[in-house]
Amino acid sequence: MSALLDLENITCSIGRHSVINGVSLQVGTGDLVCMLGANGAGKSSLFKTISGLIKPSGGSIVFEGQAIQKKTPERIVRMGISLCPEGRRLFPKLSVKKNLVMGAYTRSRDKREIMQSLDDAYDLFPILKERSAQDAGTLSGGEQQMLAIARAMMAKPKLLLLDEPSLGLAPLIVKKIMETIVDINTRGVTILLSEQNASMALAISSRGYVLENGSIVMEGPAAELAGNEEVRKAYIGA
Amino acid sequence: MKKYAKIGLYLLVLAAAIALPLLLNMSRKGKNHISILTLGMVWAIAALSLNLILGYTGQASLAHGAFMGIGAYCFAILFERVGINFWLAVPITCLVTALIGFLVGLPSLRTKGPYFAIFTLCFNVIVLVVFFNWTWLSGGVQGQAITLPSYLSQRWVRYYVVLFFLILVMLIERQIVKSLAGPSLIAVRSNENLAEAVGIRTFREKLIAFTASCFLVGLAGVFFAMEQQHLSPEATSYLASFYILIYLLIGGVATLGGPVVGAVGLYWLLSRFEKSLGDFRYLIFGLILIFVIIYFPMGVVGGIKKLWEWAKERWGGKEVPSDTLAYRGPDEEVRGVSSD
Repeated sequence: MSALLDLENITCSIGRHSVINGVSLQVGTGDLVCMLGANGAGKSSLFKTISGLIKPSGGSIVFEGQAIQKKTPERIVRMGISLCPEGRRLFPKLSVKKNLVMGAYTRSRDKREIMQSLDDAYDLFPILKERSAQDAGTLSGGEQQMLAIARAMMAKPKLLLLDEPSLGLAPLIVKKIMETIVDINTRGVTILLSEQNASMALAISSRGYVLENGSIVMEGPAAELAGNEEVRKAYIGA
Repeated sequence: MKKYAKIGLYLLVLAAAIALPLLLNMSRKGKNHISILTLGMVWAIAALSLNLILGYTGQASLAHGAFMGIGAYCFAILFERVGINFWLAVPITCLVTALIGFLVGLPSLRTKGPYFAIFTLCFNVIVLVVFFNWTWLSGGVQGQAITLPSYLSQRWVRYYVVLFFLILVMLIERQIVKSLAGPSLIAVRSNENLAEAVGIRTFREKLIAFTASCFLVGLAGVFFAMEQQHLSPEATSYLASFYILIYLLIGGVATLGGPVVGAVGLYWLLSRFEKSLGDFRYLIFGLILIFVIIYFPMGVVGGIKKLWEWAKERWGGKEVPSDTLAYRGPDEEVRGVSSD
């Protein structure tokens, strides 16, 4: 299988602490893969490493046949990997529209093309169109998360990294966001999704990985993981 | 409606700025005021340049006094000693300060937050010491005199020259902020890590903003030299950096009118009370600074904007979301490291 993203034995440390210890994983083109793990398991660090914000101390990351572990974040965004960071990170003083335009920063400065992408983003989340002139900091939590996802999509990514999109949101909103994630996936964008909300994440994804203390302890088809006794105990609580 | 009111206000201020020297020129005392206002506008150009790097990009440079002094000296040496044409010396000076700014920015912008402020402050102190000791460059204690061309000998002529360039600088800054560069600078200010994740080359953006800022403060240096007609090494003092910072903070960061209101207003007040209060005036202005920072964190212009919105909600009948009234500082977003 030729994978879109191929991590081979990635290690990385922050200061003297080693946070990722030899992670290998594959994401195939068009897949929706989820990564389960508790707080501190290393999910966000792994995502930051893939997007070039943290440099790995060992191992290789191959995207579409090209090694990217030494490339700058800007190059990686240009190549088609877009990160939607955890905790709904936005530019609060900029309007919703400007936040979205910032998402297309690396793309051509052609105004028409950016306008087209804006329409696509509003199509994905109609509420953002109503709020387009408002400062991003004044949005509700759910709307902020929608904006963060929409902004990541403005870069027209081939691979979208979603870091805990359900964090701190009401169940109804989480459901809406999960539906949109599936929608984005069916439009042809490959997705790697990190989650603590295991039952939701496994329900929509095709494959899953379980990360613990910076290592992958389990992997397999989503249905298999959902049925696994240990996963159920640790992440679903049933 | 609101747009017309704004344009009307700008035209009114502009008309007042153009008419003022005509009125002041009538009396001898008034003529001194023209000079004070001209210098106020020079500081306004400096404050606008600092606004670009501090207000919009979020990097507190404490070296702008040095760059202004370097600009002033560069201009004086080019014009007075080398004998280059006045209007040719102006762009050359700006390019020289921009180049020095670029070279200083290369190492200093790799540091963040307070470290950048310390780095630039150290640079300012070094420049001051250098100008004191290299008398062949600065003229030492005797300083460097500038003999203006005859058409600039009248105060009101210099006033209009500086006014013209002040408006030009404001228009340039407005254009920068309105273009895509503006939001990307604000993105760097509000969250550098996120900006990087989005694909913004943050270091490059900061370096461009810093270099452009030094270009503009070089222009302020030129007109400082023109109005003073005499330079001493103190022109490069770090005190000037703090003055520029205070004018900007009191006027209002990340606004276009703020730096101008702060610089012209404060400089005029400081000169007005020079005789009666002496050095005690700085004490009073210290208190004003504390008051403004606590109650108007966005400066005088930011405060007026806030009051305007409040009044509109109260009496205008137009619905304004209450959130927009609350102060949201430039860096209200939590910058903590994420959970893992």
